[in-house]
Amino acid sequence: MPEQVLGRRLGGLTLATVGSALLLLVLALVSYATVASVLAGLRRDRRLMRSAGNAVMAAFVCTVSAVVLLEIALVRHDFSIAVVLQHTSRTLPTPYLLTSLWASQPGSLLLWLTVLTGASSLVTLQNRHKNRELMPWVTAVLGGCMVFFASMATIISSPFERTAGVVPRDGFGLDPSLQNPYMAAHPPALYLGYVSFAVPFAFAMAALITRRTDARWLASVRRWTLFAWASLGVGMLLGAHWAYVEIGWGGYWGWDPVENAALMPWLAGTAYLHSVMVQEKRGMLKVWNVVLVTATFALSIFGTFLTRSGVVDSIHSFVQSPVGPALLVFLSIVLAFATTLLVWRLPLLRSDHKLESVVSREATFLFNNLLLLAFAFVILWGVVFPLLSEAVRGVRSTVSVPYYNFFLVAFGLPLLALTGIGPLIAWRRATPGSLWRTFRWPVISAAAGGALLALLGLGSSWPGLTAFSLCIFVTVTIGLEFARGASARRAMAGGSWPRALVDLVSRNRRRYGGYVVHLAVVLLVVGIAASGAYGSVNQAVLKPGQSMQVGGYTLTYTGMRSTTGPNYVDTAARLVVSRGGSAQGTLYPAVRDFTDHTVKTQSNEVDIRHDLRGVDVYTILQGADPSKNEVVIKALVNPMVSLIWLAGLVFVLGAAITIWPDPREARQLARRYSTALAKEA
Amino acid sequence: MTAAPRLVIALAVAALLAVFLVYQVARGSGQLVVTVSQLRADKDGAAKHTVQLTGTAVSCERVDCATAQAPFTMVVKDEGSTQTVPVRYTGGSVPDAFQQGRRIIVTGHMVNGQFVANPDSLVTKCPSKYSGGGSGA
Amino acid sequence: MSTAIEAAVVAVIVATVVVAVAWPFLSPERGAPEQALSPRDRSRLELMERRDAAYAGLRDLEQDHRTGKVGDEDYQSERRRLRAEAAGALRGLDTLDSEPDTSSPEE
Repeated sequence: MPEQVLGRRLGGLTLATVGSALLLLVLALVSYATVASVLAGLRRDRRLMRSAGNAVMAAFVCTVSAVVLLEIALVRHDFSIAVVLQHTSRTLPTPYLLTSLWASQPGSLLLWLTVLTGASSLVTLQNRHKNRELMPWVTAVLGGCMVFFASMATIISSPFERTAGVVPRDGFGLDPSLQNPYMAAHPPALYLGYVSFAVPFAFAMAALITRRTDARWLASVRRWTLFAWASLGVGMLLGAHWAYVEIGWGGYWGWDPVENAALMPWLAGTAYLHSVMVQEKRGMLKVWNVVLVTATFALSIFGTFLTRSGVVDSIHSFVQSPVGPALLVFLSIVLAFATTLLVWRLPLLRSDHKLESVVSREATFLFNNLLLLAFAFVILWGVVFPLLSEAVRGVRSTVSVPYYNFFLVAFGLPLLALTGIGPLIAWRRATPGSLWRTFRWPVISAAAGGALLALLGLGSSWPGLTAFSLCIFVTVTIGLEFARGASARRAMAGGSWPRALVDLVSRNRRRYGGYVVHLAVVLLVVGIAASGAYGSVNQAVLKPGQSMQVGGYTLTYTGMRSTTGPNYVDTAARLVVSRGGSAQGTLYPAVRDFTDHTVKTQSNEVDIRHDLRGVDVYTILQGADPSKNEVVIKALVNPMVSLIWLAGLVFVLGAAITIWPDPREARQLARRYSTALAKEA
Repeated sequence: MTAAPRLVIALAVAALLAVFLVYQVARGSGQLVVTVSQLRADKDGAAKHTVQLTGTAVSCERVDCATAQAPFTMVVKDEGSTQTVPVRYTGGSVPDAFQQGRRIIVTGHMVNGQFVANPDSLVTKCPSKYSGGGSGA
Repeated sequence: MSTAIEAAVVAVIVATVVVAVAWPFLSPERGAPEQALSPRDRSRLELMERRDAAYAGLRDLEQDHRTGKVGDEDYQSERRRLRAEAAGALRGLDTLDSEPDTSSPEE
């Protein structure tokens, strides 16, 4: 046996063995933590609870150590470990060597387990001195989740499984479509979202078990819910951006089942974030909130099941594996457990108040919930429809993009309207006089703006025009909220406008952070509506010197160019872009041949020009025939797509404002619960 | 909840359900997804309608599948049987992951024994990300 | 040789983890034993929440009135209602405080 291979195999044995041992230890630790925390809850044994908490944190340390070992194996090209062999190569750039950890099923399960043990450890640390009655049960529920995922990573799909037979000198390489920074960041962001939803779920179950239906647990989990929801949103936008620049069909969202798998829990989470405000302000919707937080977590698990089971046809879907049925069993246990608890504690969840008027903020939030969940249901139906139709008729039927787009318009436009109505309407009941006073300017602005846009030629798409008009409505309402709030602040406390604005946001972070998130939604809708309804596309076969027209732009093909990278060679078509006779730049859509794959592997590398008007000129080299000196170019003009990515940044800013801790609120909560704290201390 | 708001909420739920049901009735029961053997057997009229065909691309005529550009013809085979069908991909983009031996989904209809696929309808599944064993990325 | 190294590394890790998990039982007990909340404490918490929710509602109402969302008449009637809610919660807390505490922590 060659000495090099022997040396790596020795190193590989130590790495793989220690890594496997670490994962077994994690399984043992989280199993102990689960049992110990249940016993601690029943016996009110503080030492046992501290021991369980230490076990959770030790599990996190061991999981991170396993990750570090696997990363070392990836960077050292230790092909004696199967995932290293199957997903990397010697010429793969180091950043992608590191991110290939989550390119494989076992590696991504390890990432999931790392985030879960990390979140559980952080929850343990945050609640060292509070929520003592809840924490044993929170830890028990999180522990149950950790036991499941640790079992999967240890027994069903281990990342340290060894390569069978002789170890080759080089690996198979990483899928070309995964060699992209956005695709590298997309899974961790999604997992932060999926996994973090376990925390509010665990607190909700703990509150039901301990009959602590006071709102303390809501305050405790609010930031976790916001963080999970924001992470999932960012994860989806990263995936959409990756699809736009990498997959190269000119779009960013295909209603693929795996894309939908992330959207469904996000919609349920959005509904929850709104309805929980109704519970906090008016003591209503208690049962509904427990259902929502359970549904959000269950949809996260279901999304994972969809991605990994291979039961539905998707660009992402894979061969069927034991992971799929295991996830389905886990999901069933979660739903059965939550339903049992909810039915058992139903008498404790009576509302403190009734809904008195449909013209009120509570009612607006309720309608918002209905629309969000209706949309989530429609998406769920679309995803499982092939399975249902096969079960009933013996042959699969599928729904396609027009189905989803119809409901996006049918439910999305009323949702957009509610985004503007909700913040301006009073709690409990709004009178007609107050309605006219508050909505006069937003309605007039929207009507005038819509008329102007129609005159400018945007009336060709009525959903697009309606969306733009509603965006004007929402923007004006948000602007009025900030302006009136700052004005009132100045009237009370004096000072400059910027100072008043900062004070206003600082004292009402949830409200005004939420408005910033609504602004992000407006940007998102403008970007989607503009690119969806007002784009252009053209395809042409060009010889050098020939031109094509698309959306007011002229693209002239001038020849081919070849460039070499660390593990690829690009063959690009040079396209000179001009508009109205003036040159706008040059684009190089290319075909990339990877040099580190055992099988000939090519990818399309699109080139996109973003101009200051917010228009993307998107070019794809669809084919080249050197014998005829011809290329096939597909070009699209996508207006306002950049707003979608800008919306992501504004979304993160808004979420950060709402999540940012408020010392005043913390003091108030501490004062309120000092009785309980005195007993718990 | 007092009576009037309860009624309005119930009407709202009913309206959402109505929108969903009316759409389902108006648009029909979706597009068939068939295997090669189901297409050959004309199951549920698959051979006479536009359907989604799933299978494995076993070979491409006169070109290497990994570098194929539309238009080209490939042979698609069932997973569960030895039945095959020629598929003419008439135009549009070819996914980066498309290669011989990859599972594909393509939309089109049968014309004289050949499946004519719509442009830009070819979807290839990433094979190795979560598969049981790798045979190439 | 490599088996010995593996065993040693794993043994050290396991030993460290066992000590961390067992530490609460090995170190001296800090503080009083856990006690559950009594029904009286639960009632107190509920009343305090109702009181704080009414206060928060009053703050929001002030803000809404100042920014023109709520008219003068609606403002006055809603303010009366919220102050009555807060007063009711405060009365409940006073009653609880004046009663002797005979309840025991729940099992």
